[in-house]
Amino acid sequence: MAKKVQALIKLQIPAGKATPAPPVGTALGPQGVNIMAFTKEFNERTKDQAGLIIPVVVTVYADRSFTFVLKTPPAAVLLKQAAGLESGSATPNTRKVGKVTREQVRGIAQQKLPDLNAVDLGAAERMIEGTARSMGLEIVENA
Amino acid sequence: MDSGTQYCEIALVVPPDALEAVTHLLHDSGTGGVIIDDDARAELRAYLPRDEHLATRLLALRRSLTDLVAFFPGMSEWRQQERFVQEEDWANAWRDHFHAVRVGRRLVVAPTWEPRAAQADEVVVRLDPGMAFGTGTHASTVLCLRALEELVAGPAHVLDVGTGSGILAIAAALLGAGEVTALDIDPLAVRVARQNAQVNKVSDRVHVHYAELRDRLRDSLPRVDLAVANLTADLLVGILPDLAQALAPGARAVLSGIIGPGAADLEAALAAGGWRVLQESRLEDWLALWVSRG
Repeated sequence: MAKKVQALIKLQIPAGKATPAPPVGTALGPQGVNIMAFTKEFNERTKDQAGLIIPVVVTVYADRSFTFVLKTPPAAVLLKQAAGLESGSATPNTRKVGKVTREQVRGIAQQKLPDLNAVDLGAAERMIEGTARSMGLEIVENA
Repeated sequence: MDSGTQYCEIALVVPPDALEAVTHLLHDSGTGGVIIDDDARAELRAYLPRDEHLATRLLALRRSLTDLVAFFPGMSEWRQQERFVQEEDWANAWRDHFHAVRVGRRLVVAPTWEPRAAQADEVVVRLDPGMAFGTGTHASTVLCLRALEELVAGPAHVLDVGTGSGILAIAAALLGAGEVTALDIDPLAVRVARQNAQVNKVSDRVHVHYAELRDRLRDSLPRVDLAVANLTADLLVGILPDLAQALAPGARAVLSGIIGPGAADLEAALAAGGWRVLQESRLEDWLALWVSRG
């Protein structure tokens, strides 16, 4: 049967480590959904991505049942992978910790476009560029 | 659960282009996750435990957010609010939304944790709402439950196509059906329906299969005395030929989950397939049809 959607909730949480504590509890609790059912299923589906942050969109229906879909990793995670880094710079203004090519930025923008609220690829690219610079990554034309 | 913990809730409004950069900072500051509301503006919520590290973490976070102005000019107008929230029993708080509901003349749907002794005339179906299934009191489900109250008689064999939580199959068994065959093509549904049958102590009579009706017929499903299918109009149209084969002569089927324009298509398919509509029942905007062949 077709069900009425009550809420769409976007979260970013660590793979395999969802618990009823905030933010999951504070986001899903007021919607009246079975939080343990969510954490169990989320952790099961993301267990092989341990260490990564996973964006997830939870659809809650009027009868308080729900489904969720996992999205592409956050831009920062993809940028770190592209630059081969463990973490970004603590002082991105002064200390650059790595490089990504414009092509890599475009690729990440394309990958993230469906999940971003960006109007077009250009806007998505600017968002990814800004994110890269804010992490202390330099953007270079060629590798 | 450690109910004494307090959290500092950090609520941020940031320019949309800085969303990814800000969520990254929040993750790095040890929040364990971020709630994102980017429908209109980019609003973020994240939580840090209220402990001896909180002040240092907040300070570092504010500094990093201020640094972002260099990369996202719009960040000059970012707003941040903090408040403390007491840890609640979120793992169980949702249960407050579920209580026993009488759905028909005799049938009551009750959560497993709610102590409730069945009154003399009551038949209580116990369910734990979970991920795929809610309260079991959706209008289309209620229409089926009420139909089962009328139609389950004696040791009949009942077929439930698309059993979901198993609620209809279990209700049929509790109302006295001798055997119930429940089908679903969602493995999660099959698992949950089996669990729910156990909770209601009817797993000896409720057989849940991960199968389409067509497959089950091929495995020689004996003709059933009553069928119930709470699906959607287009799915109902699709199973009609198989359903016709599954029913014993004179047996009835209850078709539910019908809303909007799909009803006309289904009624046309019923007429074309030689089905007779015995009764139409409605609740809210939903329609259920009691049908039989010939």
